[in-house]
Amino acid sequence: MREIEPLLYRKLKARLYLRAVLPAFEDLLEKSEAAQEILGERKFSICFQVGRQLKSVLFFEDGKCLWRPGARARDADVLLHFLSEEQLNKEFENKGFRLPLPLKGQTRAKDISKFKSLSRLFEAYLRGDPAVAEDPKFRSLQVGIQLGIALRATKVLVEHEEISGLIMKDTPEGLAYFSVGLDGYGAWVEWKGGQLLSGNGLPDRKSDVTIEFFDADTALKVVGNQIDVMSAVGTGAIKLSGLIPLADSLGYVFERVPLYIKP
Amino acid sequence: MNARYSKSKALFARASEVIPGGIYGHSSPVMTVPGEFPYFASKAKGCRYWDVDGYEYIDLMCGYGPIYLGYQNEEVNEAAAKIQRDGDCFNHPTEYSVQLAEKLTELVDIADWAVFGKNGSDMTSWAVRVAREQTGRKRIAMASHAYHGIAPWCVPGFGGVIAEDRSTFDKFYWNDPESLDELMASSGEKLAAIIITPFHHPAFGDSVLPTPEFVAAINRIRNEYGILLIIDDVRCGFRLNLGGSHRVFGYEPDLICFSKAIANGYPLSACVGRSSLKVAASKTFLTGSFWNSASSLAAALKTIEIAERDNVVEALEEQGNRLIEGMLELGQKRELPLQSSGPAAIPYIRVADDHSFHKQQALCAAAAEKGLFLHPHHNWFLSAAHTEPEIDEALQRFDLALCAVQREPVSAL
Repeated sequence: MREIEPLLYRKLKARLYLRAVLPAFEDLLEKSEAAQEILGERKFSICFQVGRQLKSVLFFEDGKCLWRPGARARDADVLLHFLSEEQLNKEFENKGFRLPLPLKGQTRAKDISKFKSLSRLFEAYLRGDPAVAEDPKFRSLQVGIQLGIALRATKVLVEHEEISGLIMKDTPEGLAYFSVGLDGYGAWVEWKGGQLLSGNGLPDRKSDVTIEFFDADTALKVVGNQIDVMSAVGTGAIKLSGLIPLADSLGYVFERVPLYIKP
Repeated sequence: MNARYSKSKALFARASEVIPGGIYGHSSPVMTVPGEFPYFASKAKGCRYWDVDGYEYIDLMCGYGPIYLGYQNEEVNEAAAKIQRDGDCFNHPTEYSVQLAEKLTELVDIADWAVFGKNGSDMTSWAVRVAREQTGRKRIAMASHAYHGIAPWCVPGFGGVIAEDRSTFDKFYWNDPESLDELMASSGEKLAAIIITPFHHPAFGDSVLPTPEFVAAINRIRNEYGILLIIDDVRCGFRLNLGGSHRVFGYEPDLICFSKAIANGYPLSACVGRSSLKVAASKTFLTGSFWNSASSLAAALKTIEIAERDNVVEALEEQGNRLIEGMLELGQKRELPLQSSGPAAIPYIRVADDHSFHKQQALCAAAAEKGLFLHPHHNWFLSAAHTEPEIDEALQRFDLALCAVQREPVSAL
């Protein structure tokens, strides 16, 4: 079921950029010293907005980044307004004419410049550019960012894409824990009451299903839908135990993420 | 991966290079406990099989159902071999197809005719088409989480499936007459058929027998709305009643699909139906390159003959009960409470209050190591080769597995 109606495709893609990709700046600032150096002492907030409803605000402070899902656009120091989802999508994909309207913070050139630098670094980690590949934390950071994006994207799809909602509809409730064996990355997803919640690190109770990727490469291939998962489970490259139907359903939604964005 | 299964692992690595998934479908390692179960088999006899690493197992899965009298049953094999010596796959059907159709119409009360295929999916999908041909209606109702095969309308998962494949299928909940009534209110006049298994046997869940109210609701709806009732007896057929599992529960089916046990491991499926559907059935094309193969039909005739002669249904129930009682008792003794569901011949026993299946998976992995093949998430099957001594031996091995997961010393046995 890969045919997606174009309007829905654009809207969902924009939502994924705002709700799954932008929050990954939290991971970048948390784990990358280079990113912390770029930010330095600077304190600012930036909002990406499409229309009046869809927005995402990042707060940069004390060398950290915080994504607040409920934050208001007017709370941001810099407000970038996109006229359409398509314009926002192009911005994130570096395609064509895409300059947003700076509704607020036009004079905060230093902040915008900081954000651009952080964005370049973010993209370098995401794509594995040679410039960052020497960083000893590169692999774990890359996998952390990508898996984080994928998990948040899964939540967005379950909430806003019909087929993903259907996939999860009859899935047993439970807590799934994802980890990367050699890199120490861990994140959890909980499916409860028709809602998906997710977070980094170990969950506060024993998970119902555990999905352990042997290494970062395996995890990245799963995120990119580039691996035969059934074989990988059989060979032990992915260790799976517990409530398999939950992992299965999450896997089906996971596989849909690359239809929209490349984590 | 458990080092015990080194040859399985090596073979799986080779398989993964040339076969998508390495092993696909219900036998995939994903379905059991990956790394803690054998992946490949080498030989079998009676109620036992051996994996490629040479380990022997008392098998409570029976090839996921087809092994009904036991592996390598000599009488069945001889019946199949006899026809194979004269040829097997001909331009024409053989007399065996007529004989088997006659036999099924004699055995199954609602059956006035029979057709044959190779797998359960062949028959369930064909039966759906017959129902549409007969009624001129599009829609089909099925229970949520029921398994009816690998056709796009019913296959688990979403790979290669488009919304249109399932757009004429409605779901209701098992043992929930209200959900049936709701469905009838919205789609009753549009339904060609309801397809159900005799009891609900979802993977990753307990088996659930139908309540009398549910059976009554199904029969009432069939009669009231002129909807055909298809019983998918692929998994249960011949294990609960030789005349069809509907007789155990009181359904009034129009079409029944059989496979698995029918020919003791030889590939065969069948659909039987009422005379009122014979014209529609004749118009609903079905065929397959290997469907005239006579050996499977001969094997089925012999299998049914033995089942009648040896009262296999009763034997399965008796030994199934022995197994269930024994396992539950052992669970209590080793302080790992277990629960059983489903009929004795097709039981499913699992660790109680184990929502995540972690304990169940550990128990079944330990059982495999002790030479007992149990499935952690799927109902089990008994065969006529599971006689009292084999069941008792299975229980001994099960106790060793319980001790292993409870970390009790074996001397405590």
